Amino acid sequence: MLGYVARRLRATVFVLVGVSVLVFVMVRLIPGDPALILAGVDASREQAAEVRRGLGLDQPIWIQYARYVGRALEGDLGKSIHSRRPVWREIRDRFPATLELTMVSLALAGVIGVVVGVVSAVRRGSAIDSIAMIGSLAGVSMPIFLLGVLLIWLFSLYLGLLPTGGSPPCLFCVEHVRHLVLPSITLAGVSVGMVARLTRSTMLEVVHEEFVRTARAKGLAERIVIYKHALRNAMIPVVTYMGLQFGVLLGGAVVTEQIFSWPGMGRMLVEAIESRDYPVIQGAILFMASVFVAINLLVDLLYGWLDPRISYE
Amino acid sequence: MRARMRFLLCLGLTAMLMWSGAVVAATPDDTLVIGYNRAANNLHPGVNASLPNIWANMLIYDSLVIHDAQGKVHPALAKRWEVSKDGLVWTFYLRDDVKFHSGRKLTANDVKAHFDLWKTMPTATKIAALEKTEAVNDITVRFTLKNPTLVFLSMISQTEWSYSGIPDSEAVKKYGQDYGVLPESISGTGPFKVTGWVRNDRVELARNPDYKWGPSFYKNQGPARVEKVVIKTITEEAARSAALERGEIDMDISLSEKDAPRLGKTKGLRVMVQPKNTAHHIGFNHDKPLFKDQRVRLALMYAIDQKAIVEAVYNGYAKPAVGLWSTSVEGHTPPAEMAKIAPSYNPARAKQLLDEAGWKPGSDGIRVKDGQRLSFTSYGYSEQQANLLAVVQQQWREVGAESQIRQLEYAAWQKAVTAGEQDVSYTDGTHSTADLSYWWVCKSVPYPNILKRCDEATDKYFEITQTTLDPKKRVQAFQDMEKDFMRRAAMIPMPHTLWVVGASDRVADLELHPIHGYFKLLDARKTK
Repeated sequence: MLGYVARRLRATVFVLVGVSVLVFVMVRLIPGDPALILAGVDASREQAAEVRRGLGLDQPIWIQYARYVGRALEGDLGKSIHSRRPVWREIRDRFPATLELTMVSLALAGVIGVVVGVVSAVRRGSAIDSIAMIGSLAGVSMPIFLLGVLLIWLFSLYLGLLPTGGSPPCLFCVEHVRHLVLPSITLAGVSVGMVARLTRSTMLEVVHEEFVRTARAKGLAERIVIYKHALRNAMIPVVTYMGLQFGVLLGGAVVTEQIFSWPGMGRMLVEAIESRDYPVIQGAILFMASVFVAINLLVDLLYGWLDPRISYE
Repeated sequence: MRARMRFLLCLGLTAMLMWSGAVVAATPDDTLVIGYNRAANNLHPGVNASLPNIWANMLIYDSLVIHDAQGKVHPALAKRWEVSKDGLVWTFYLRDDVKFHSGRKLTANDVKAHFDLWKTMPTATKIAALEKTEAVNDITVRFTLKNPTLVFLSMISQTEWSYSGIPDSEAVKKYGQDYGVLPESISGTGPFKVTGWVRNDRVELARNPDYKWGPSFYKNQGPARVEKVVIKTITEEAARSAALERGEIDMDISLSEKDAPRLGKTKGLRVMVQPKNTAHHIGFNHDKPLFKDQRVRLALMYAIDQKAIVEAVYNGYAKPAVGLWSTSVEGHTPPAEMAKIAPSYNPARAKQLLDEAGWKPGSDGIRVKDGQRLSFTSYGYSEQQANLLAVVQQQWREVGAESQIRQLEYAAWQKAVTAGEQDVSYTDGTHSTADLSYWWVCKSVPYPNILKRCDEATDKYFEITQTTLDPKKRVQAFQDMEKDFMRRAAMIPMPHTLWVVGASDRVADLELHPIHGYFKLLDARKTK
């Protein structure tokens, strides 16, 4: 297994270099001049040129990239053009909020989705199965934006139970948890539907396997047959999906963070793109790519635990 | 049984969790919570042109002078000033009772330090005329200009985006690049000081108890009546309206015109409106052959029904423009006089002009000349602008002109119009003085002069406004320029937008400024 991990880490270096080149070039191809945005609409051409020189944007792109890589290797991702803060500090301040939202959403999606999927599979053809599948279809189809606004209307305005958005700085206080409820449900919406449908379909395959018949023949309680034996085998595609979904949610919590003013990386990235804050865009995407690659590796290693037949040699 | 008990316990805990804050949505009595759609990122004046920074800086800092809502300059940190006969040397005499939030006394060295640093910042265009700054003694600052100009006084007013707000120079020296970024670094002389900053969520301010040097146009010169202010970032419009309705915020300073009628009828809330200083317009790209004919430009101006735009796009929350400038801007032409010059809604006249110019109606109603259709692109950079251009598109269609709308993201729009891709473009012209005319002089081509219009008369008028030391001549030159723009259809004025602010009835004595909304908040207070 260590050899497998080493091979994957080697490949990761190439992935990250590729990502850095792609992002570096792409942000400079997007129309827009960060110097003009920074200097303001009143800036003269000379002033804008001066700002551009100060940011090093007048240099050829390959020199800019070489400087960027040189600094990045020393752990310096540059400074935000607008806030002048080191990019790593911007990420450090924003990433925990996105990670928290993503993990809670994924946990919600996993727990609710798996339970609904299992119940659906076990009671296939029943009213519960139909309701569950219609519900999961609605979850998959409903745009995040619409779900978020509807939840605000229902729980914040109509029922007055939960706040509309924001994130109090106290991590483990009741207020923080209350602020987390609606955005995490919103973000979990699509994933719950997919997890439920995937779990149901894989469970329906697995329950007809011989080992399940054997477990039943041995006189084991149905609960143990389903949850201990069948589910574990059905979980492999679900784990794959959730692992990939983690990366998607990490990068795609943008809409949810906008609606609920959640101070995470999604919002930071949107603001950085709008203001053409190149160092922040580059740093944030490189960071998220690294996290995504790490998550994928963990998911692959998890297979081995789920299915002892899997070997990494 | 055990599983059922566990389930009921979880349900109970969840209900308690949700209910624990359910009835408590009102903001504290001593805190004014303001909702805005973007977050501040750097509170060092002049570092960038971001509006959330500027508005927070209005509360944290003061400048030497400040404009009131009618555009008149008032003393602030400077109690008086003198100008040399040749207009090149400006001497400001500071108050000697001003202290920074750090407790240090303000001196001329702090002013010099900020102006010296400002000259290196991206927003330095404002003080392009400044040659050098000297601290003559503790309470006297001398500015020497490169050329005589009255503009200098406007540019160093706090109204000019608070770039001239004076920070504590020792704090700036101590924190360097971190000044304005770390909450503990920030030290100004303003009515409020920074007590907390949760990045991208809120800026927390507390009243400066020593403050007593507020501008004279406020009823209260200090300390502020509100104990604390929180500027809370709520990005989404619908969420912000919901937060106001729920009592999570006391003010929404960028209330949507769509929500304003409903919220104005909500118990406990009111909607305040205040005309903004705007010079919004649709500008013709004068490089395009189609718009070299003044008759075409005039015709398109006559086709515009501003009242219809105000209703359809702004839900009534805007004011039809007669000329280019708002009436609160020094240098505007009196509306009665401008109404005789600027083309107003007259589709018959528009059609007549197009006929005269040789554009004849085609089979589909769109005019044609020499095989070419009267068809052009209209650029904008926001959803509201695209909605406005859609209404204008219909109005132009009625006179036989066809426009295709291109809505781009702001930075992409900036690049496109700099390159001159557009035929016409909507431009937002919120400003503090008519010196915004800088946008339309020759040396501003290609940006911000996206009209690509290089006109001798415009440059001549602008030169007068920038170099004369006679305020009356300056006003006259601005008026002559504005009348010339309208006569020759350089651009089409668009309705002046309003500040539409939703506020709780618990916020009393709140007055809005045409450019900066809540401005310095000296009179406002919270009631129980």
